Amino acid sequence: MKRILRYFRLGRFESDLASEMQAHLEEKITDLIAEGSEPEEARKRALRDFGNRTQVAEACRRQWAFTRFDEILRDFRCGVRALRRSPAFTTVALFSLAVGVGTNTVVFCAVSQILLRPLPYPSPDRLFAVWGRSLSRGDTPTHVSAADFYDWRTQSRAFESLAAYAAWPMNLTGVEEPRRLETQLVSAGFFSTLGVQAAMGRTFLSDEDREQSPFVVVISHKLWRALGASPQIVGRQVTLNGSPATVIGVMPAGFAFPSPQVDAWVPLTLDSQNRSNREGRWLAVIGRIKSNRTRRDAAAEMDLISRRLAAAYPATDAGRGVLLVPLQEGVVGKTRPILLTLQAGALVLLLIMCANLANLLLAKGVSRAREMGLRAALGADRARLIRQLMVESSVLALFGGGAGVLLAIPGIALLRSFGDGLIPRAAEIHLSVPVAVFTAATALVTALTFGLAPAMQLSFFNLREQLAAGTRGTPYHVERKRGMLITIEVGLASVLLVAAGLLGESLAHLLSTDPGLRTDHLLTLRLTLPHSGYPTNATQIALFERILERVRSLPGIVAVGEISETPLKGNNPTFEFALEGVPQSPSHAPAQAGLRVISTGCLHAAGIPVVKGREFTSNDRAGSPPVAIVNQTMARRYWPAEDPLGRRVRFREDQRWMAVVGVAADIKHMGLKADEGPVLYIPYSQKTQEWLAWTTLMVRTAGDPMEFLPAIRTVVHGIDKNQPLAEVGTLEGLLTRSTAIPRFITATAGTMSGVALLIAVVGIYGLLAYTVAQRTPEFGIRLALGASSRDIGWLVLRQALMRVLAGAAAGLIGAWLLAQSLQSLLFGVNPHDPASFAAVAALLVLISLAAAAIPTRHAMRADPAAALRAE
Amino acid sequence: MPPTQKGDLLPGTLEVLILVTLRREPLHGYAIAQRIREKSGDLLQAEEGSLYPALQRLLIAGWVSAEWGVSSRKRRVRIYTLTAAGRKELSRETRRVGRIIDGIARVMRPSET
Repeated sequence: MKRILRYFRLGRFESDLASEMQAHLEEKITDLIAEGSEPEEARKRALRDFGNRTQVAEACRRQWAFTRFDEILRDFRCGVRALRRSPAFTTVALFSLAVGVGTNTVVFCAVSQILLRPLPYPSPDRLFAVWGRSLSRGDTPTHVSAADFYDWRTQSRAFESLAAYAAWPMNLTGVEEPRRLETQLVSAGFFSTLGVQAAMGRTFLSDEDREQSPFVVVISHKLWRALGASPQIVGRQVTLNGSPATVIGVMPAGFAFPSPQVDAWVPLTLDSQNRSNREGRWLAVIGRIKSNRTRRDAAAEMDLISRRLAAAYPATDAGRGVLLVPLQEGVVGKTRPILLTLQAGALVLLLIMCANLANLLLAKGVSRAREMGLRAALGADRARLIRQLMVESSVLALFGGGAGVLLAIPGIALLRSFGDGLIPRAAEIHLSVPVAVFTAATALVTALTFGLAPAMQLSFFNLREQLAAGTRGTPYHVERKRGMLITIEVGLASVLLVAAGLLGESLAHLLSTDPGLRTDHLLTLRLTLPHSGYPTNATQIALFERILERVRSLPGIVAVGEISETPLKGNNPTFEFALEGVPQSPSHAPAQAGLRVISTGCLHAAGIPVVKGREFTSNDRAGSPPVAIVNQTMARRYWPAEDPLGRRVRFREDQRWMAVVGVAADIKHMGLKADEGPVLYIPYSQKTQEWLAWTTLMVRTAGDPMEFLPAIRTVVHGIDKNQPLAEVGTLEGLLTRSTAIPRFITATAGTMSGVALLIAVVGIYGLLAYTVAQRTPEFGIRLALGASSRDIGWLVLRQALMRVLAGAAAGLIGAWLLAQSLQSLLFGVNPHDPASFAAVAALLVLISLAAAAIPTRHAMRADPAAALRAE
Repeated sequence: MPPTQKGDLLPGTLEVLILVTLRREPLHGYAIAQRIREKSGDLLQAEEGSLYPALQRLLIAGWVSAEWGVSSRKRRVRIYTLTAAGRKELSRETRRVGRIIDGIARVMRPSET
């Protein structure tokens, strides 16, 4: 440091030196005059005795300038020049560094910011999602009934607070275009449990979820902006589902619980009947454990409460338990295995990059060792040589790592835009400096470790030997090291290839899965009726039917239908029901089925085949005998040996029997990966559930579905101008979206393994080309002594094959052991699928043979005469 | 100590001579040159200017320190002082030079056997 400061003081030093030398001359002139010289003579003599002042000054400056800082600058420039001299080496090295550092930066940013960074609430480790569960079904979380929730809240001591919430879309009217809000009904303690405050105004008071409380709403920052970002919004009235509500607060921009889509929160106000309902499980519950209690305390206490409730209400609560999940995990959910897989892939890629870089530097080191030897022999300082190599490696790592970080910026933008709506907390992903520095440092360490090899060899090898070896002769251990690195590269690449192969096979499987309905030319949009405008089943049914009729009569419409849950979307409300003639035994879990309320013509419009019986018709009216359609799974499960047509079922809480009139084919309602299970379809015209006031309008069109949206909007608004159209899209789009994550993972894994394979191939080629060049004279002699060119070819090929086979074997064993962890990402593919493994092995052998082909041909064409002449 | 580039002297001799000269008292550049010339006779054939790079080396090594002062003739000059490290180095050098000279002398002595 001192030296660097001195270096910068050079300017002052120069003027100091000039005046110092001037003083020297003047002193001398004075002395000479005192001895009797003429002044002119004295001046000349003084100048002559002093010598060339410029040279002296230059020599002085050099003393200072030859400090470390200056040398590092010079080494740096030297390093850049050296890299530019060997463009092939530099390109490959920089490419692998940039890709390795880039991918790892992107993925690790995502992992650290989504999985590792705590939720943005105070003491997030004390926050848990509290799910119900059926003890007989293990750890599958279920929603919680209102009555159970209120009992938990009263009886629990381990929790500081418990809060419930449920999605309840509402219509916002009185604005230009009515819009559907993603609203959450939340109990009064919701915000205080999370520990968040409003950015403007306030959140709910503890008694604001009483039935008689005035209707208030807290809105998200996003909605506040959409409403004009007025600073005076607090206290203003808005119309939600036709009722006036007062905005009491605006949440801060980052607050997005339970999802980034949420627009508003309103109090969960339940009348006494709903409050004591134990059958409808529809609430999600969160809890904050007291600071002096542990998760185990809370779990034990909740078990106790569950047992107490089961004893008190055996009809509904027998066999029920509680599942505590850290809220962080709950938020991240299914993204976890995806991100961890990507991270593992990125790390493997980084290892390959490091091995490749090491390989390149070792190869380069062989030629450098000779140069270093020569320079050492000519008197260069060893420390100085080592430093130069260090600087050169650092320059490489710096540029490669820098390029990687630059590459990570668009990579993160890509991940963020891709993950919007698919990956929770995706909006939080950003380039983190420590992560970038960490990954770049890995590159630097590798570069330094292997870049120093030639300097290290100076100490192991006699200098003279080094020089005497001439232009050939590679230290044997370097070649062995390079061979080992190739084996490692191939091994790692085969792990990635197996993963990519399995994921690809799984994706192919997924994409070829028949969704069970016709997804093309199908426009879907969701209508949710406000209770205030449509309080009864009759009014709701009337509106749904009017919309259906009017849309059906539009030109270019092929078919129209309405269904209570959008296919492929994954919402599957299930209900318990009873079968006629089958006594209910308390020991048996009650029969359950997903419920879909549909209009006439719905199955036809969606392209769901009716395999038996008939679809609902306009004759199935409110007053006519109740009817139902079941899907094939339901028919098979409950009437395995009989004809389901004519059998009767009823909801457990409803005494009305419904006769099965048709059997519909199963569809992939939950998304392509899952079966929908037993499903019961009932007609809208006969529905008795007043709360079920929503529908998805499905319109099959002759042309591009989206082109029909304006006409449909006009129809809907002509009937009710306050009715918003939500979730507008096509079923095809929904299908594409449902496979977005598998496609993304497969594409990423494919790219990673492709790059890995490319690098391995370049490595194999490089090593073989080098050894062949080295051994050409030997091959020439062998040929001269009668070896056939096939023997020579085999000699070279064998070297490549041995390494590739060793690497592939190790890699496939590793992949076999690791494959199980891919399980959760695979669909319809055995993680130990022998075909995938065999394909990877075959691919590796073929590719390595291709890589070895050119060097092998060179070796086979070695000219004995030329080789002998060269000796 | 880095070797001096020029002159008929053994490498490093000029630096040792400067250190020796400064042992008694701090001096400015011209005065150092004068003392060395007086003491060594014509041994220091080199140009006076070569004194200055040597002084820079000693400064970098930390064996001397320099400060601006005034000469006996009231000229503004840089005055060099031997530091503690310089004193230590000087005694090391003295021993080393002594050994070299001994060795040379032994070799140069005409054979008596």
